[in-house]
Amino acid sequence: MSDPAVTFALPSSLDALAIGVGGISGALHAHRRNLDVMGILVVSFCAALGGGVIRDILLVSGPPVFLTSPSFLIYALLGATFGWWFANLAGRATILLEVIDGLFIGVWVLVGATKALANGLSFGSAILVAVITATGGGVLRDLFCGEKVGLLRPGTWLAAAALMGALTFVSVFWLTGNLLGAQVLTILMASTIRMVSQAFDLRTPMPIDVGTILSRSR
Amino acid sequence: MVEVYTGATGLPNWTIYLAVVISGLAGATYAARRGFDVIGVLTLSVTTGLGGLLIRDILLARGPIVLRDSTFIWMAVVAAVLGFFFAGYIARFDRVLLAMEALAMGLLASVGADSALRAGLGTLSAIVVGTIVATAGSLLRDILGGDAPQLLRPGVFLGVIALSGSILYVLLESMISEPLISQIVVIAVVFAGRLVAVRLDLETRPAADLSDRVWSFWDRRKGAAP
Repeated sequence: MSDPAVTFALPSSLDALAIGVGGISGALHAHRRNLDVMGILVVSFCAALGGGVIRDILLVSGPPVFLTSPSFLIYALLGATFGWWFANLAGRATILLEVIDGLFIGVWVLVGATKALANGLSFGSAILVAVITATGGGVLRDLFCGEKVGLLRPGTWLAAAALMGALTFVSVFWLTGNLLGAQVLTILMASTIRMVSQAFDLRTPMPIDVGTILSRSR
Repeated sequence: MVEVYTGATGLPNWTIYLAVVISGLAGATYAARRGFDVIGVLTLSVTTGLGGLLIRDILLARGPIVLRDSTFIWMAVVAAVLGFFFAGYIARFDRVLLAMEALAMGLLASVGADSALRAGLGTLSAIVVGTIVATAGSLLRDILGGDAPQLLRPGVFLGVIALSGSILYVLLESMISEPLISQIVVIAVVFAGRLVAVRLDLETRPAADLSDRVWSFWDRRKGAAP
């Protein structure tokens, strides 16, 4: 098995894009709820950086990345400012934003999983950390807007796509020990599931109560 | 004796204990007003009073000071007891509480920014940490109380003032590097800003949108082109 301590560093332009898009979508979310300047800043920072913050807290690996490398803050700030001033403009490009968001779910998943493995966590824990990295920002965003957490409600595959991605990563890496292959497959898997579910409006499965099915068929 | 680093480098430690009592009182009276029970009052007092400092230490990846120095917990408990028995009296002096909350907010903003700078973080990060420490208490209180956070919605200047306080502290520190003076200046400015905002009813507006102006500018240019 190859060394999981090989950390995966995204090219910084990709980082900027991922965080900037997160910031824009957070600012749009805040805009739709008529929040003020502080609301826009807080909500879009949460959407852009929240997952990574929770991950770094869970891994106890020093201050969160966004505090130690201020460029992350600047990307989030740029995204927030753009979403704030040009909400209508950005609102027209929601499809583009969704596609980019969908592409980056896989990236967040694999960054989270790789970081968890590099910190010596087991595969099961890596799945949890990866899903939290990919979805934590959205949960914080909903909480701070005083809303029901969208992650838990029926809808298109979002956290479910992240979960599938994380499972792919861990199983491929466990079976083959090939970090790069696992990472590429993860991005493909998570993004494809996310986008297919968006395009065809596929809904996440709801709980099935076996008891009622059995009593009905009797 | 546990060595306490509260971040109040210039000001004595009792100031930050007092800030905890004041923010705790704000949480406790909120809980009493909302008809929460004794656990609700206690929880909201502890969360509002200690939330900012707790989050600061989590972000700076070190053992939370509010757990290592038990005075903090006791201060929050004192606030809870006061809020539990005297919510009515306190509500009658809401202007006093508001002024004291403004003092506490200035202190917390400067303490947050200061400890981030001392932990070796950059300017921008210190501003963010200062703002978080000053505002996280009220944010957590509203979330636990089931309200949409007041901090984020249009209303009398609150978060903006905390943000300005942190920016001011970081600026002053980079210029004069005298924590005591910077802290006092920040507390005074935040206090004055908040009181003036309340007095004159200065409210933040919902976020503006410039895209229509950009579009019309674009259309005019296109119209002007041959």
